[in-house]
Amino acid sequence: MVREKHGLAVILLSFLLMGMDGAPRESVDNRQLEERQTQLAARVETLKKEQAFLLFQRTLATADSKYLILDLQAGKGMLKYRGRTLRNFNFPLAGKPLPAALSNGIISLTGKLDGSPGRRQLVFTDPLLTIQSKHVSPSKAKSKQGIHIALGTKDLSAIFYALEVGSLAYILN
Amino acid sequence: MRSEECGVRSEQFGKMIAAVLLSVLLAFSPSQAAHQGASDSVDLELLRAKVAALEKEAAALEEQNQGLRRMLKEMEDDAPYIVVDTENNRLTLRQGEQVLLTAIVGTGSRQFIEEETGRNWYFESPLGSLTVLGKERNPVWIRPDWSYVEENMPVPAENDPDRIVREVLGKYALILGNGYKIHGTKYTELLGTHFTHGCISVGDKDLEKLYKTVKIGTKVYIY
Repeated sequence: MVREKHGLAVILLSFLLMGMDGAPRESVDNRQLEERQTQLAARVETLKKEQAFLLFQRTLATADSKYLILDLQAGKGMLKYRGRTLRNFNFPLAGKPLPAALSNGIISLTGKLDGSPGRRQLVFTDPLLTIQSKHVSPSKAKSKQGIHIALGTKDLSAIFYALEVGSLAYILN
Repeated sequence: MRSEECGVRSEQFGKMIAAVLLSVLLAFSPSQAAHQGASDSVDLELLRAKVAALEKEAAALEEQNQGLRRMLKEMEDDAPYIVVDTENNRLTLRQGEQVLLTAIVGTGSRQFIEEETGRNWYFESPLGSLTVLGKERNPVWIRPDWSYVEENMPVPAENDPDRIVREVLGKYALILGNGYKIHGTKYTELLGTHFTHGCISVGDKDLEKLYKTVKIGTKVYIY
């Protein structure tokens, strides 16, 4: 009976000693580090996006060119020149919902389709984004692909003539 | 008999203990444990190094962004500025992101006239970045040649007193250079249309506010 008890004690002791090799603690450290790594990677990504936007603003602040800033989530836009706002405008996004993956960045005006005020269109790439009159339904737009921003006639007219092919816009999404 | 039985049972138990200990020893033999421990610590070190690198990268980016924000802040001044939208005939006086005044104005008629001699004029407001070069009270209009050509009148000599016209430009004027001004008008019913010869015509109340707010050197952006 005494030997049985001794045997049991030896087994328990060996398991106890096994637990002292630090493995559970290392796994806690590991988990914490992985969480920190994920947080930091997200932070770095945010900071890189912020830096891209700041660099864009710094470059355009001294350039002799008007440009747009389009905040797609807020539905707000700005026509700017040398860092100064020339015009603010709002746009409810027409048609399909925004692609969530559409990333922040620079797009370039590649086409101006002139005509009556209601038919004017500004076409930006890449990704494809069309600014058009809110009186034209997205289904009647020349290109049905990409994102469509619908503006009032006055906003569209002002922006249409302020920008030239090659003008830049910065998408915030 | 009982002691024999007891001896057999203890022997069996002893064997069982030995087997368990042996298997535990084999599973966690020093070489195995050392190998597992080393691999874990390598992974952990690698992860620590990655985290340290990300921390460094984030800190560097934060510092760079702070510098860029400071640079942008230094580039912008907080002085009011004028924006003229010639397409919609609107003038706004802005300061930072604030709109201090919105006025309905008249801008260039975009019309073309030609004299018999071949001289011609296109009446368009000057687009681009201009500066308020001067401020005038009770401005006087010196009629330019095109004003006579437009009315099929003979063009007088350059210093002819007939060219001096009072009380047509309102009470105030902001001088933009090259003969262009932001001034008042008698034709207030035409505000909101393209009717001027290139100047920006403003209603009396808006003009007064502009004159009082704007300083010489104020930027004017016409688009």
